[in-house]
Amino acid sequence: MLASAALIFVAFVVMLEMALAARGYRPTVLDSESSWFKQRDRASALGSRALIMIGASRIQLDLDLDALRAGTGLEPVQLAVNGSSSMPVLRDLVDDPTIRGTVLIDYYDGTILGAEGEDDAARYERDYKKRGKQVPSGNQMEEWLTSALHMRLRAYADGASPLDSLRLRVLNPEATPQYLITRPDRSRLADYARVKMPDFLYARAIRDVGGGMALGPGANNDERRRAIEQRIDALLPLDNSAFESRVQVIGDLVALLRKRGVAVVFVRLPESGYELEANDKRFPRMSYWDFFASRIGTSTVNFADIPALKYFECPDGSHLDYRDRQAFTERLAASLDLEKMQ
Amino acid sequence: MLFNSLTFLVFILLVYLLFWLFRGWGARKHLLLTASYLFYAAWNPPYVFLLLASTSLDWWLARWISRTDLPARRRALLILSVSSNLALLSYFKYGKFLLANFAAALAAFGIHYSPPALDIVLPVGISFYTFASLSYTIDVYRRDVAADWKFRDYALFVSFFPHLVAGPIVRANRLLPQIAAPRDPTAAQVGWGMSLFCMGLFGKVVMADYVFAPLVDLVYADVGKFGAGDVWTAVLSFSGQIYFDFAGYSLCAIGLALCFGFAFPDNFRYPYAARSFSDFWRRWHISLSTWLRDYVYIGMGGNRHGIWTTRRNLLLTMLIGGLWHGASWMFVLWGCLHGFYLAAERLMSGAPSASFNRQPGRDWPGILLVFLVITLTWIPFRAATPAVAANVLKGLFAFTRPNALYPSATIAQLMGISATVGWHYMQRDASLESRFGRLGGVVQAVVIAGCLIAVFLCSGGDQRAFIYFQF
Repeated sequence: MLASAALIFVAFVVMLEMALAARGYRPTVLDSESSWFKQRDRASALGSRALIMIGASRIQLDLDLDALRAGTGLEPVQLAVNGSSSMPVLRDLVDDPTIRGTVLIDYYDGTILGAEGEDDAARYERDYKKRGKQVPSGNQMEEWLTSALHMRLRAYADGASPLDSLRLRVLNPEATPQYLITRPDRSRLADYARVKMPDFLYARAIRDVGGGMALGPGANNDERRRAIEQRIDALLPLDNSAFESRVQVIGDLVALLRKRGVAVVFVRLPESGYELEANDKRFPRMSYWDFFASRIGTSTVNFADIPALKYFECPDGSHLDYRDRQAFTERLAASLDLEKMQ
Repeated sequence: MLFNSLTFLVFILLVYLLFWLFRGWGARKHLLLTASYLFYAAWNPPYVFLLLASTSLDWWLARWISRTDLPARRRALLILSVSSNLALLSYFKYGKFLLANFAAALAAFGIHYSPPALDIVLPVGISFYTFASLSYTIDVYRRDVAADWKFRDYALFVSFFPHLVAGPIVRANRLLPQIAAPRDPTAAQVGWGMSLFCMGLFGKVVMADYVFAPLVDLVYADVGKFGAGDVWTAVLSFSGQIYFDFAGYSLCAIGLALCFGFAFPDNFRYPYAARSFSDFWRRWHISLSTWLRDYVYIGMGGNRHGIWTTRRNLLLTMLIGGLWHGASWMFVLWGCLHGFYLAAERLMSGAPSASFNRQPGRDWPGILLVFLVITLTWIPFRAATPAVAANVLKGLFAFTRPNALYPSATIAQLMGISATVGWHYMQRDASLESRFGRLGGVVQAVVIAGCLIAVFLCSGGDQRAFIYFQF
């Protein structure tokens, strides 16, 4: 009886894996809290050799860590957290005297302007501080085994549970193909050739430019395009009265890092299409980026100001395709001139 | 390591392989003892010394008790055992709680006292292994159990990994003879043991953690956002969560022990089909309730000294039972409520409704009433603070607040808990083994495979430790 039960179980898992493979899904590394902890430990251990990246998905996708290593001579450490503010991690780096390297911060007007909330970065930072007292040794083995299993099974790809994979990828004919994978060093690669364009682009634009669009569920792409363009036309600059005080707060943190000898660079990464248009309307350059760059007290790099960087296209408006990241990173590394930024 | 972890899977496969490779019973016991200490060390390595010290002390004390006939000396040695075990519990489990309440009591008299910030890490399973140890020395004192067991056998009795961190609390007179006598697990024992383990995992991982827990956590975290329907759903769902979490773990423990040839007693017997509160405590966490009955209630005199003393003894026993669950006045309140129910039931034990309630087929209103009261009594157990408990109680009557949960989620939860209670009602006088045994081989295989598939599907994501893990 047990042998039959085991056989049925194994058959189910194999069939699920085969179904996912047929739909083009591959096993991935899970970008988890524990993988962030590992990189955070590296940031401390590497000392002045560390080139620490903080921010959100743009800096995770756009930068090729191998190219960065070759171009700067430093050891990249990816501490960006998808969909999160850079502030919790920045504070964490300020509080840690072992952080001695260089910090690259993913600049986005909306993140600087917005209030800090309870996002994944805040949770990672808080749990990292508590980690020393609470994690028994057995957990390290469990993390290793879980990671080893999840990296080999498609059912766990991208942090899904097997039930998610079954419901949303196997049984759903409209499932989003797997276009994004995470590497063990926490960088991410996006292959936009695998998604259906321009549907994907319009879906992202609708999400990012905000509500108020009168679109029915059966809207076609022409209707979506018109709605997005009308919405962008109607956008007004956001109130930046809180921006100045936010810049001051960040500037104080940056000053503490620089006093310790840490080089800090804010990098505005590429945007294109609707994303660029919408952000130019909401966050006029003079009131936001230029103001920030003049007050922050450290080096800043804007992709739009550097000829070698300004023509990179983002297929979804916000992130580079993996095919472009190496070239972009090489040119960014060349433009950083880190020695002068100390 | 948790039973539903990959580390445990690797551990048990290795231990089981070695168990069958070692042919001598002595060698097997050494293996199980070593494995149990390694299992415990996986939580926090230094605390194995605490476990060893507690085990050694009680083994020696029990031997001295058995070797002396002087009543005063026997009593003194017993008091030493009881006080050392309770001192351990008091420090590790109740130290911060006692200090905080001491400071609060002084403050009530205008005396300001700031207790030192104690950073005490609670040793996993301390409540379970100290109770197992205590039962041994008390039984030796009462001359119910001999004290001539080898240290290795006694140490294995206390630390045997299936029951070490979250029970069931197995009595010495039940487990020590099994440990002493050589045994080879039969194919039937291994088969049923593994089946129980799979079913227990299903209860814990799927029903407790995946089905019921998320909604409970969501509502209890911010009760003010939810309407009365949502709060009732969450309160009912917690009944499901705590049952499946703890009963699931117990099934895993019983199944694992059986795979090695050891028979553990049932720890849950369809408690939500209880016809009365005393019936509930004959079905819920049976190993704890019988421990409290035999060593606390009977120790205080039981029902031998009149009706008021009986009620006092019931209240105190359940108060201690509540406190055993955690260092919080909420657990004390929960225990007191159950003590009150039991005492009130004694008062009504001669009432005509009592016999009416026992007629099969006509007993369901009483069963539902008991279930409802038990469910509402879980509120202080689940609520972190009195304020949360009060908000939940108020939320049960917040009919003007709109419900925020999706209707489909509410319906799914209510169906889940209804099915649970219905299943308990149908099974209340049957055993899981007999019911499972009546299924054909193919159906049995499908059921076990279904449990494994469901556990696999729900794996990945937030890992919740067993609710009773820190007791």
